[in-house]
Amino acid sequence: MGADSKLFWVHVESPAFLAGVDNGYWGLLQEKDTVEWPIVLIWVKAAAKANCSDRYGFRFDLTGYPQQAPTACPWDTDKNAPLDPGQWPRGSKQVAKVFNPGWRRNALYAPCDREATNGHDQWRQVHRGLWWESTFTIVVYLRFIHHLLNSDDYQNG
Amino acid sequence: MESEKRLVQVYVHGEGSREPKLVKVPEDATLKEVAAAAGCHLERVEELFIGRQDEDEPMNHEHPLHTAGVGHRHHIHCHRCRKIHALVLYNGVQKEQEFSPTVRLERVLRWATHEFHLQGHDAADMALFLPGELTPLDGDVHVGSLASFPDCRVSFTLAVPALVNG
Repeated sequence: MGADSKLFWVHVESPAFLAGVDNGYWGLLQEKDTVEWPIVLIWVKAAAKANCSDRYGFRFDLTGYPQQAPTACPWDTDKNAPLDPGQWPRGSKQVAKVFNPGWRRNALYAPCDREATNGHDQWRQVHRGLWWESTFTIVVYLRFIHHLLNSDDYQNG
Repeated sequence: MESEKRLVQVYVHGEGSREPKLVKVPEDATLKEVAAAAGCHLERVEELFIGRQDEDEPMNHEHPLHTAGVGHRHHIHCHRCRKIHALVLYNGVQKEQEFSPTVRLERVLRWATHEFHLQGHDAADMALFLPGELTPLDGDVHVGSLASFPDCRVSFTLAVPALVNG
């Protein structure tokens, strides 16, 4: 097991991650021994919304974690394939920006996403608490997604 | 025998950290023992406020977990302040309110948007920030985690978080 995956599993045992699991905010979609590092599947709870799932699966690529930021995209856990763009979370403001399959289907437009930070140095200041740092854990990314999926923007967008 | 006692885990929040500690204690441990296991101001543990998450009244330190209604993976808060004085600034106007240290910021935010007469989307878009910070505070953080004894107060700014854009 490499240093990146060792640290990830340490973070999965942290009170911050476990509190999210106990609160029903998120959880692993796989047993530890079925994870094919650096890919990890995690679900995140979403607020109740007509014709929408109450939780979304995400495929995280954790290459170089936590020195490098994660990158993630919505994942169809039944088909084990990227989620159809028509089923991505919808909103009218921030949710529409972050969950934008028209931008990328393999990443989220977020300051904590490895793919999105390229070319967005201005986010370093504006989104200081989300701009990925090597001291961060996966919980920073999960809280960001969970907040959006339970926001007024998502529920009414 | 002591070694055969069933163990439970309890999230313990307190001063100085936004994240809780997860302590493992015997299921018949008293609240005082849980606080001690979490390292909560051991020199004055008898004087600590110990309360359940989002509840205003302190619990009896000598009560075992089950008597206090604290179960496996429940959240409690230990603090030297019995009340936290919260000050919220919005558009140049300041409102103040006292909260139990156990109260999560989502309740402080609801109180603040109500006090400033914000409704609907205007209220839903708001978040609490520490002065000078650009990162919105998570609604699950306990207000007591942001205040220290003997000051027992914390200041917030109420604002809309910057959108991810550009």
